[in-house]
Amino acid sequence: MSELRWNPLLGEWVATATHRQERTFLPPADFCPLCPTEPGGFPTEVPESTYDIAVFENRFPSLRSHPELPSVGPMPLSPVEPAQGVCEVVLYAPRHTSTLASEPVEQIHKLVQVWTDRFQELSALQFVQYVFIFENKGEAIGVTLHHPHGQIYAYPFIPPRILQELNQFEAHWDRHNTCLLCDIRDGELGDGRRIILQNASFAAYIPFFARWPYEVHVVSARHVQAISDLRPEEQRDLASLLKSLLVAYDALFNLSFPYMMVMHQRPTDGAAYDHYHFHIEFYPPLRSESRLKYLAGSETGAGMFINDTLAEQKAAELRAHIRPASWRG
Amino acid sequence: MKKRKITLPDGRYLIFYSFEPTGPPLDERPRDVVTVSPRESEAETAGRVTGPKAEKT
Repeated sequence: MSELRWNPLLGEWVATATHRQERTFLPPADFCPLCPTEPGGFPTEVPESTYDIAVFENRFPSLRSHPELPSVGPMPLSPVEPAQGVCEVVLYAPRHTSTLASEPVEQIHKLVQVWTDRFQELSALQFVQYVFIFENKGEAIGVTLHHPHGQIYAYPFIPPRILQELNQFEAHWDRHNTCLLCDIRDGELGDGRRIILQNASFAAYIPFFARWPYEVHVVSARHVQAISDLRPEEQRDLASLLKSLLVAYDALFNLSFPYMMVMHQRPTDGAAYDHYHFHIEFYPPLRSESRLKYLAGSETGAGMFINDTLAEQKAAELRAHIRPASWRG
Repeated sequence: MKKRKITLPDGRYLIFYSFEPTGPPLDERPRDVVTVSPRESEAETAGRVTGPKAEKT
């Protein structure tokens, strides 16, 4: 059962999805529902193994293309709507023990192309206003399945965090006649202290205003609004950069580094967003090898993040582990 | 990229993506990662990665 309930205090939607309480929780590797079904084995979500990347509708979605009616009526200040949308799971590889960091750069390049295809297909749906591509990695983030995978949510509205960013871009555009993120990226490149790596098409840095110790923003050199705007050589460069960054993350503490990876793109509601700039943000929850950064009172209750570290120092640590991605082709 | 869509028993879709074996790179020269040393001068970094800036028309 799921529905959208309006929060009039913050002016944003909250999804209820009670069936998600029943979802599979950290099963043993032999019973991973995301692995291909083995001959004579228990049936998993994926009946075949001959694929590079697979995408399917989430069995426990918060949003559905044909949603049920809400379980309750509205309150005077809180409308209720059916939770219409799409929730997809993206399997990065058939291999259970892999991670995106351990996949060859060629596989990440394939993933970039699949992300592009999913963005194009989902954004064409009439009820979709925003396509959100993301990955939660590691038990520290709360993942319930270890098989390497990401997710895509196609929302029927522009989510609040994106809306806030869009407003900032628009205000900057009106004030300076330039793109906010082009200016931030150029400032970071000019300063250099927080740059992690760059190639012909992308730069990655810990932003001056980072909220997480190892937060990294991956920003395209060309002013584009969505992953579907990338040229073939830019898709390759994105794969190269992601591979190098993810390997550096894992090398930092010699462990499989947990993170949230989120892709910020233009909305798909048909309006023009020329002032917006495509980018990917990483939020790793570790602040040291064995300590997590928690979203506590100030972060959750007031919205003000407190970062216990200096972005300049953390960038130097990460930069020391950067190695070029190695292509076979 | 090849795409094959099937319907699962409960009505959900599943899409298999498969790719031809990786061929030669799009350009002959691998596009290696370049790192930037901190405190590199602005002159050294100018124009290296920055694409055309968006300007309002």
